[in-house]
Amino acid sequence: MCKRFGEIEAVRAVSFEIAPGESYGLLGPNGAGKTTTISIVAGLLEADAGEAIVAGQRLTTKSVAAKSAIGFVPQDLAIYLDLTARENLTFFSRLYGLSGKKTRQRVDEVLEIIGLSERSDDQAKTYSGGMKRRLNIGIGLLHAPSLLILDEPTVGVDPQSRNAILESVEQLSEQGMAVLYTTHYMEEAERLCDRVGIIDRGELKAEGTREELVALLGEHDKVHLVGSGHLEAGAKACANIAAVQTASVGDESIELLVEGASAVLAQILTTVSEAGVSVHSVEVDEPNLEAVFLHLTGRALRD
Amino acid sequence: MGRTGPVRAAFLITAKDLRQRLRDRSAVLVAVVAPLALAFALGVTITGFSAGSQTFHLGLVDLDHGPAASGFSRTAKGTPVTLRDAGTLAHARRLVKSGKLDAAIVLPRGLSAATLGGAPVRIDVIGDPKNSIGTLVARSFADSYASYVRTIVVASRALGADSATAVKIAGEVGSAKSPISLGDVSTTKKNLDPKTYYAAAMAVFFLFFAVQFGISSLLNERGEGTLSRMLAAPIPRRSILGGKAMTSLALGLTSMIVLALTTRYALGAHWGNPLGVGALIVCAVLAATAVTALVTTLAKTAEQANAWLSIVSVVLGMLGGSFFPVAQAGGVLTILSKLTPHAWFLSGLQDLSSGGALSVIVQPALVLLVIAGACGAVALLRIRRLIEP
Repeated sequence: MCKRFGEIEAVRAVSFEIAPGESYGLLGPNGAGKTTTISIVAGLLEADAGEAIVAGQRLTTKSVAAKSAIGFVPQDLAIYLDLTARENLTFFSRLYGLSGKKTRQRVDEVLEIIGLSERSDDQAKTYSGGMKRRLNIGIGLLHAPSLLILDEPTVGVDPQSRNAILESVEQLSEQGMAVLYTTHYMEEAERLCDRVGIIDRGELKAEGTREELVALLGEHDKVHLVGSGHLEAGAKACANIAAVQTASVGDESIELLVEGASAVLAQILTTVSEAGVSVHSVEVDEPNLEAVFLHLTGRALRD
Repeated sequence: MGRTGPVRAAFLITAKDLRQRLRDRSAVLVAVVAPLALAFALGVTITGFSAGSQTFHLGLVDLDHGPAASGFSRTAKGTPVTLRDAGTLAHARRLVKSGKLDAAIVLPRGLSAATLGGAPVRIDVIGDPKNSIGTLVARSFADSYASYVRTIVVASRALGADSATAVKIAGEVGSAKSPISLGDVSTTKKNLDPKTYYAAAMAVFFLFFAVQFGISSLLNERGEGTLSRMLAAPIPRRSILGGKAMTSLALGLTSMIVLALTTRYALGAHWGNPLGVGALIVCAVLAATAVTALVTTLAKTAEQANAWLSIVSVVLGMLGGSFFPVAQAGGVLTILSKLTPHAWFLSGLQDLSSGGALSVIVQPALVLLVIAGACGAVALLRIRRLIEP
């Protein structure tokens, strides 16, 4: 898909697939092109070139049938604050074609899922920020879509509500719903997504599982041992361990570059202890998506 | 799962909008309470100063008892003036001061003799400063009569009658036909009476605010993100536009009908033939919705649209005669007034209330529809930008 706004090329030949039941994350900083991309996928914007196909149907701004397969949760709170949660859900469920008893049943189910059953008849303006966010997500679930699109649903949410939202998305994915999730939080992408697409300046730089992306770096875990005693001897002893690539002595510490640190950490600690090092603390830095992003774009994810 | 048809989707959006507007009471305030309060206040205030529909109770102090005065009391027939004998000067003063009379006319001793001699005629009026209109009417009434008597006397003498006969003729002529014409200047005949005028004027003025809750709320929904949600739903975009337009029409029609009925039964306003009034209301609501849609399509944000719509509504209202009949000022103002839906709506009502057949509203109704069509067409060409996320 390609999309320009005047001189700005917001999306440049972005292409990806999401299988049923798969969670796909678009990871990138603000302004990377995430929202434009999902706006095309949700049928809000027309692509200048390329196409989005959802559940076998080509999606445009006019394709009513294809939109039935999509649940959309915008980045901003897209709820009517002067209506109750039940009224919000009922209105949108009817727009999605539910009617009569089915509407009431489904609204009750969704209220249960998002934990707002007890406050369902209160106006949304009386809700906390987290409750509003949950209602915002609930509207996207009403018609049990094949693909749920969530555009940065945790922005501005307190940690507790954020965790609740992430758990909800995990459950939906486990139930077989395909999820397209955009975020600029590396932790969310790592926790939720089966596959991640790294997007920057409108371009999809790389995509794959977390492991596949990290492998692009060709880097290893960094183990940082803080201690006292015979640090030089400890470093030399560690260098003899097969998984340890390099070992050096720092300021009251030993720095190791290790392949698969979690598997050999116990052996490392025993070795340095036998070499006369008293270990006070251990830190293991695994390469993460943040590092991958830095590697691919030359800038940090939060820039 | 079924699919929501375009018409049903539009109705769902309208129903949702109306629920919101009723809940926050904004529409009720703008569409009903404010125009009703202003119509009542302006109607009552203006009626208090209106001479047209009032009867003036004047007293007569006849100190002359001659032929020139004999026909005076009969001259009030057919005018909105009642004349009664006020007895003495002192008694007349007391009656005027107490408010039992609006004013009193004093026919001086020797009035007939002075007339016979061709001397200037002077008739005094006893008035109350607090009732300046009553005093003015009495003064006008007395001056006119005195002038008329003198004319008859002069004319009779010129024709050879003696002085006594001339004065007698004057008295008889005066009693045969009222020389003074204080015609009923009530606006109910040629114009709307003040209560009806301001009821209609305020109704059409606030109509332009009431319809804003529909079509221009697209910008609010875009700003609040809910428009994106509707655009992502499996409904055509024309359903969203249709729903918003129907909200405008529903609010406009409700506002106008409630105001017409309330002012008819609570304030005694005379709107005229219900069928004609209904047709004018429908045309005015269409015109107001189209003008609002056009202005909304020119704005980029909800705040900008609200500001522009307020300015347009007030300017059109002022030019259209919602506050005072600008069309009667003449010149450019009259021409500008004819460009507003307000003026045509009020003009149609005036024609209806003066007893005209239904056909009298054809011209104003057509002009209102032309305004609706022209503004609506331009708005439709531009409105696509409003339904983008």
